[in-house]
Amino acid sequence: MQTLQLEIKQLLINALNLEDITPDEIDPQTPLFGEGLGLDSIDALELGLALQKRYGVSLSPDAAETRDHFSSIAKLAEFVSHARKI
Amino acid sequence: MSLLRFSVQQWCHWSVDSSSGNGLTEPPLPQVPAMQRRRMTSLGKAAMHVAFGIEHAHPDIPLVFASRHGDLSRSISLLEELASGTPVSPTQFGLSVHNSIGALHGILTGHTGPYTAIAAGEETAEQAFHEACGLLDDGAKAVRVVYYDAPPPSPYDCFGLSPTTLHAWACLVQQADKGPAIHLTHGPLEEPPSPDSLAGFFAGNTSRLIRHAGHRAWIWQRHA
Repeated sequence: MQTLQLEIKQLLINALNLEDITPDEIDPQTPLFGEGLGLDSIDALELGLALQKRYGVSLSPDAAETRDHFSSIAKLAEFVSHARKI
Repeated sequence: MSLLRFSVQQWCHWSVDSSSGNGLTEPPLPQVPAMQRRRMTSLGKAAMHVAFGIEHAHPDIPLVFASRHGDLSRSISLLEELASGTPVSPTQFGLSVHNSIGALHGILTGHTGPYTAIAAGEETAEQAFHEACGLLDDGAKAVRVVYYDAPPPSPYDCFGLSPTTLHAWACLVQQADKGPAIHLTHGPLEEPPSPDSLAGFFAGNTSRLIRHAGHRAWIWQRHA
């Protein structure tokens, strides 16, 4: 799971051009949006697309569980490990 | 034949050429938080840099953003993604419109005055001053004109369209009686175009400049 977390951190940094941040600086439990990492709604769409391309997972923008999956790197890794098709 | 009269008080310029001695391909932009800066192209950063360089006692005076090609690289990457059947990037989509740099400037500065974004081929700069003079006639105390452009990227680079380097400039435009007047008019292509650029004219290198655009010549004349 730690390998997958690292992989998703790198994907996040690349997809969202977070050039100034290294994977070590992102705590797996830190909230990604709002306070925490400070990502916004455009980032959510961009990250969803990157996950879809990399792992073949589909995310519904309206579903309540999507909000939960996107809450932190740890949650995302957990979701991807179950839902990935690639 | 139209004639515009106005004065230009401040002038700020940035280009890859003038900064190549420092090895810079884009200006530093400490005024913009890193989380916003990460989404900007070099062209957007250059435009923002010169826009921040023009000050006025009334920060909400109108802004005219002008660029012949704008952030064309974004539209090209969207088209390439569509052509290959790949889902398009929401970030590129959101920022590919011509007024996105002006809109981002408005968000960053809290500017609530009018702003506009124009593109008018080879005469984009001239039309930007027409827009500015229209705003002055409507009662604006002053107008900031922000011009930015870069060579079109591949596959459009084969057409040899201007400009040849990424550059941006901005100035404060006021009524002609507020300072040394500049007259802008156009006529037939009788005289050859000036070797100097509009940036050179504003920098004070020359008091008269002729630019050819299509079938007409634009004549810039500075009066003492």
